[in-house]
Amino acid sequence: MSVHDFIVVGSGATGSMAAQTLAERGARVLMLDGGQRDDKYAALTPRANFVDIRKKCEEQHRFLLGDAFESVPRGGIRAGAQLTPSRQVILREVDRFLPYTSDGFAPMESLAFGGLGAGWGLGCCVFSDFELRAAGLKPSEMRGAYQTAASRIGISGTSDDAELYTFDGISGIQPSVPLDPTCAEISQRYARKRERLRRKGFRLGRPALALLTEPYDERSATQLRDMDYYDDAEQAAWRPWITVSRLMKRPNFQYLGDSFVTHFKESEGRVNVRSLDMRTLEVRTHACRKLVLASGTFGTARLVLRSRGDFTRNLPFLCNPYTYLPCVVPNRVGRSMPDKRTGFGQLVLFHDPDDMNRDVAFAAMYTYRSLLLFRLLREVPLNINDALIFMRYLLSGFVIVGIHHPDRFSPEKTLKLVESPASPTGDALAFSYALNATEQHAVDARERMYAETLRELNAWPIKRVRPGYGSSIHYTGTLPFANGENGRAHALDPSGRLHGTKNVFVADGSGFTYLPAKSLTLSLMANAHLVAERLTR
Amino acid sequence: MNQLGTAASREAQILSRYLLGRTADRQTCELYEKATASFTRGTAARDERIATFAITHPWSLAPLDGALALVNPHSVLRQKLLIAAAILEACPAYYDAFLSQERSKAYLLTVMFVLIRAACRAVLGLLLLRYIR
Repeated sequence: MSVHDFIVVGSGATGSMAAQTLAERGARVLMLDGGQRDDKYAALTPRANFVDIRKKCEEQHRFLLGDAFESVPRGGIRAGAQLTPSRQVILREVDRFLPYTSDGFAPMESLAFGGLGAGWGLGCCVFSDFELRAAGLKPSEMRGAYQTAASRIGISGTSDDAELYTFDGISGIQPSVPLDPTCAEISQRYARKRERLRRKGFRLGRPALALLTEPYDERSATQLRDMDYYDDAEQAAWRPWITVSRLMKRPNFQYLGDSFVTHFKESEGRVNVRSLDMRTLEVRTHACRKLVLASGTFGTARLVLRSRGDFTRNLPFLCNPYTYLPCVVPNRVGRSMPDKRTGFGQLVLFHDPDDMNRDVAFAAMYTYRSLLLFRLLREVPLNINDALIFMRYLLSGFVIVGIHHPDRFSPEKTLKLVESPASPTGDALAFSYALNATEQHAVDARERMYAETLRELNAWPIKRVRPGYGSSIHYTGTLPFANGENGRAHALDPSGRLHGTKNVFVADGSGFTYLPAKSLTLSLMANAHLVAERLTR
Repeated sequence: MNQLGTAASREAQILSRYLLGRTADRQTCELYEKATASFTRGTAARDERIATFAITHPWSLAPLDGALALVNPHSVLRQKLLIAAAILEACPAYYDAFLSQERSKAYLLTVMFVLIRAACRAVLGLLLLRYIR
């Protein structure tokens, strides 16, 4: 059995970033990954814009709804309910290999090629020094790492009131995509009330998105086809699979899909890794000098607890509480929508009450079209015939505002590994998550302020939807960073090394000891790069 | 087409007429048949009876749909309507019924009428629900 320099577990935003850093520095890298791919729907999607497809394509029901109608939601609201058929691959095999029990927390994990990054909303933010320190990260190192990650993925954005929170300190930013007329209305209203809203702590601006508006690094600019949730045709939107596919062309990089890593064990200066072939459940073994875990906060927690046979200890974790407010901009209802547009975030609204860029709340605003009207109809408390007339009229003025709140550790947020004989690994994760009274009060108060501010911006909230704990899909903190071996068995030192090991490192968000509300992915990628960079020094 | 297929096809026609006031084409009927086979398994008997009543008495579709939107939004009837709406929306023949359009300010009166009608339908539906046991 050959011994690789590094084995990277997972191909998501962190795994791809760590692997790129390692491979570019000449290390021999093996990536083990669930590797589930959409081999059907994206290929069916014509390279035309949304309206033309709707007018002409007889087969559109296949990629809009799915051959088994898997994209038509059943039952109540859940994480992933909005996934289109091509993005449903994100959840493929998850129920089987990543089972969980919970009293109300619904995590979203993935075994897809590119992990959860296959459906990432592309939002990029930089954490402030306060937030980085609270998360256990070094601001001086992270600033450079943000630039590296941004240069690899390509980011578009605008210098405005949101810049401090989105791409402050990062160069090479491309211009934003054109603003949707409905959000332009909100933006103009903000410009008129700017000083007053700033005094209240609110800052509105364009999001920084990992979406190219100019050709870059052999990738095309977005064609604004409004098919963002269905295909990655131009590679304008950065997805982890783009990076991993390029790495596969390098002689020092090897990718092994359908691999579900179950155990690791250190022995005589190397790490032995055991995986299951996801099709046959055959056991495979691999060896490396150093192991880099990047299978997501919960995936890594499973792997560490299982490898150590720990079915007793609770691990902490963090997850942004998430609420969305469907809003209506009255001036924009009953209007047509532009053909050229994107479904990604149009605006971001930060709440920074003391103007210190700490404990900032974050909201992203989306206009709605390509996810289809029927998904909205089911949420309207009217008969569907009348709801259709009503929502069709509102649609052009409809804005969905998703609010993320920061999260901190508390005894009410824990997980542990439990036995589950039915699963291929014989175990499952048991989650317990609740906000305490103080946290809930803060969330409620913040959401009231957001609703009030949105009304000032002429975006009128019509409902408050709390899709449930876990729906933010931002998770960190299972193996918190700690200085020195402080008695915590399951923790990381600041370099990302797992306590009690010499050669096992974690490159995902497991170590973060605080979870800011801002978009998390760029910070995860920057940290992954740093972990990998330290390993190659 | 087998007996189930005929029934599902007829159901698709009824739902299409209710949703859009238009007859469903063959493709829509076939897709609806395929979709409902997987969508309505393992449901409560009363739920099924409400759906059957609504489909055999198309005049009651709107009231029952409106009432269920308030008291049981994930009921069989609502699921059937949702899948019918999804299929119609994803057919080129009907796509325009689901996209926003430029409307005059006077259209607001139509929307207000629709909302009042929806409220009346829901009240009637709530009364009907008491009748269907």
